[in-house]
Amino acid sequence: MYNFESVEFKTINGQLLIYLHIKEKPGIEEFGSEFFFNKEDTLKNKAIKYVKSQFPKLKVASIVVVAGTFLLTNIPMQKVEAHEADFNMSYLYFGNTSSYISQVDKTKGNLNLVSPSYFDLKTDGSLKLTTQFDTKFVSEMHNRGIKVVPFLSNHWDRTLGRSALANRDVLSTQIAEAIIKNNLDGVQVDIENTTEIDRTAYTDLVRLLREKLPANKEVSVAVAANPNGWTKGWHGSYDYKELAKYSSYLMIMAYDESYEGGPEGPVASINFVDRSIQYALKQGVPANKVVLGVPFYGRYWKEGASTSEGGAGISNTKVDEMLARYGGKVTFDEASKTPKATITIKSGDPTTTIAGKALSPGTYHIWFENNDSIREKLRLVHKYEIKGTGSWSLGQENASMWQYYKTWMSHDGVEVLPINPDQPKEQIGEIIPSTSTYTVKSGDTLWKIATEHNLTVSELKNLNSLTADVISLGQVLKVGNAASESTVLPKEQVGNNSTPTQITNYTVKSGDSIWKVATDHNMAVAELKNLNGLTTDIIMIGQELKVNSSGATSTSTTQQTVVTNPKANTPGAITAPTQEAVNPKTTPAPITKTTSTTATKTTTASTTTTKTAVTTTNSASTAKTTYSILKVGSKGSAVTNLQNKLIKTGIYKGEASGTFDTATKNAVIAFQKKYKLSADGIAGAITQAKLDSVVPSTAPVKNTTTPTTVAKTYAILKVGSKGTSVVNMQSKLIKLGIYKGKATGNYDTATKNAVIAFQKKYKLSADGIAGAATLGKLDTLVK
Amino acid sequence: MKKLVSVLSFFILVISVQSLSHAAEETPSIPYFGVGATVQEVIKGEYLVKTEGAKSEEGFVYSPPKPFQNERIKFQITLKGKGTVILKLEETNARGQYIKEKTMEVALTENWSTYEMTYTLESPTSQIDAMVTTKSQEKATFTFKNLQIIEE
Repeated sequence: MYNFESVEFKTINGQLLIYLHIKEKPGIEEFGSEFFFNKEDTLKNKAIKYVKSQFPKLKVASIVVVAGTFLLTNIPMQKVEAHEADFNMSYLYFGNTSSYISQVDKTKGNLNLVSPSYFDLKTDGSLKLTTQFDTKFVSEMHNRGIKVVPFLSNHWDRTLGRSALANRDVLSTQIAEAIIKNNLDGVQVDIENTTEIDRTAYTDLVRLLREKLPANKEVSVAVAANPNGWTKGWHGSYDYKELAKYSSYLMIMAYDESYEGGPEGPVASINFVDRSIQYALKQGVPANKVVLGVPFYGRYWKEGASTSEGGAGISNTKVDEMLARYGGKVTFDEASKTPKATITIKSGDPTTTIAGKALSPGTYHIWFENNDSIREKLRLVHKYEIKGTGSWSLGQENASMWQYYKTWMSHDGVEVLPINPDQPKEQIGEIIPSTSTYTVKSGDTLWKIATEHNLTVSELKNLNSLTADVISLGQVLKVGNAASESTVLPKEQVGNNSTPTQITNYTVKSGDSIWKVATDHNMAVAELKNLNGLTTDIIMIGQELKVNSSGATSTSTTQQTVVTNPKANTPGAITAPTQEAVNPKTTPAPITKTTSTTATKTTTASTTTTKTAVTTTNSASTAKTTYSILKVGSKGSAVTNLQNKLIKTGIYKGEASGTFDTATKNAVIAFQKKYKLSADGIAGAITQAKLDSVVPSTAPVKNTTTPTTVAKTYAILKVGSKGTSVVNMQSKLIKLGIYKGKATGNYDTATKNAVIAFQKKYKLSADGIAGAATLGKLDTLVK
Repeated sequence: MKKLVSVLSFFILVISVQSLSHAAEETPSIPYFGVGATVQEVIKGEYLVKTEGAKSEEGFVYSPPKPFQNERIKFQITLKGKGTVILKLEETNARGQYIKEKTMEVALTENWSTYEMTYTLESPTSQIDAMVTTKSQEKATFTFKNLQIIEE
């Protein structure tokens, strides 16, 4: 137990140090509760937590812990303040070896451990290796550096669970032998639905496993989330604190807040998840032994049906599929930080079957998880500095999420807020049915479907993650997007045509944000970042950015977006679950002779809006301009531009949100009526051309959307760092006359020496590492 | 013909062995689980319970495997032994969440006596644990038979 007797502040070289004086006196509780610590917690962690909680606004350079005259530890805060979690595990339940490998490979290296359903129980409580077990899978995972830790399941059968606990001595030996024999990496105990009377035996099973397995093999436990601190029933069977003693970690199943047969609601609201973590920590489980379980599924309720009939599970991918098929509306519930889809199936619509049950016509409310909700949950990993995440179950998620997962998990001190509009906002708002799926009919074959949709069989299989050639009647297949029906140039032609590349430089000015620069140049933020190799949303005044010159200003070329239809497992592929790409599915117009200008098109979903080959003449420049057909459900920069122009006309009073919602539609109708156009609420070429004639696109457009804040946080730069942040720092050091080299973007020794010189000059800690203090000081000196 | 009979006999034997081994694997063990106690079938249908005496509420538990049709149930058991035990029904919902419980104190005798406790479920979808445990911390021994959960 550590008790901080007193706190002392010192300023050395302009930096604040906090001295915590400690006296070890086990058992003494004479100090306030804020001075009381559990003996399991490390001195270092507690010192940091203490300072953070007691002096949250102080920018502390170091915490020094002293016992009498002995210095126990010196904790440099710059190095420890950012919590990084690098542990992610996921369960494998649906599929086989082949599909498992495919699912794992789609995670883009985010997983450290997978937990397949290899360990079941016989009725006598002995171990049953399931038929899913496959040594090939184990070696494939090991080749990828991923551990394989099967979970031991009783499949919610209370009696079976009790058989296992009653037979725990034999069972633990069998499990240990199976792990060693099959080169597995441990076991996760997932016996559920026993009760408080089984608590002691449960813990003892875990203890026995720990005792019988070598130290390099993991023992972990999947525990019921217990946000209400219940001590009876299923929740009472887990003695968190005791289990943690014998486990590598506890995986909190922080889901099923709403459930089958229960009232409609989120599977895992942020409050439920937060309190579930808090419970574990309050029980005395060390934070580094807490893994947060994240659901990759949702639950659905039919409007008008009884509660008892609702709440069946649905994978996130299935929700995507339904949105693509039927359209619908997705809203993000701010209270629970989870999305809710409302989807109506009309009589005569194609059938969707979930877990063998065909959904009848009606309106369905689906609470599920998307990138935004998962990101919110991952913030809690950092908030409580816990070990990492687990997920149930792999393959149910929208694979696009994995592009961002690592960023969410590595809290490097650069918090990008607000979330930029091109990041996963993809499932919010009204979604029109996608034309890019196909329902398998009698007589269809993969070859037939592929040929009819200008795909190869291989492409079609990749697109749908099919591992076999078997398809079934009624199955919905992704067949690319509407754009794929347009002329598709071979990859070799991209960027190799006679049209000049439409890239120019733009110098960042005061008041600019990355969002504003992107929007002003008709680009997505992600597109702008990719083009400039930016890894954060931070831009600096004076910074040169490459931008698309065919943006807000009219251009002299006719465009046709070339969609290269990347494979589903291609990084940044837009082919994975169709509506992840939120672009509207425009009706392809007759294709005229066009020239590709897609060199600047990146893989960002929102950049895939099909530019139909409708051309018009811009009265100001006599140049041809193309227009996307924009209607309810459309999203992206084209919509933002449209809204901005409607705002200029005074017809649209809302914000330029980038989403073509009902208010936008009404504004378009009003505009069309005013100018005696066909008032259908769809902004096609004629409407947009008229709008351009009324509000020239070259005119400065008022940005009514809250711009992305230029964050005042700094990445830590040191020898080896590269990029625009380094360029900026070097440029400033040059301006100050401290650095004599060039702004190369490489943080080399010369740069380090310059940083040290700067730090010494301004009485900063002269370590040659440019952190927030150094970069902040630079900012104050060089605007 | 003799060869055919031999072949057939072999197949019948193989099938029989497979059936037996399958049956052995699937045969449920005693559905009564000790809670700080051992449960042993002494003669067919009669079970001896010996508690460890480490704490109170030691005994055994039984969970009916099939879902109920209605809310009204009755816990019936025949017991003999010494001391006082507690009959207890504990209800959890389908998700394992504790709902409520009902207990009845029984003074055991050396002769078989049958005891009954009625109970109204919150929902037929609930799960029930039927338990007989010691009232206090003690090394106790008792025997039971004819445990039934009867729907009324």
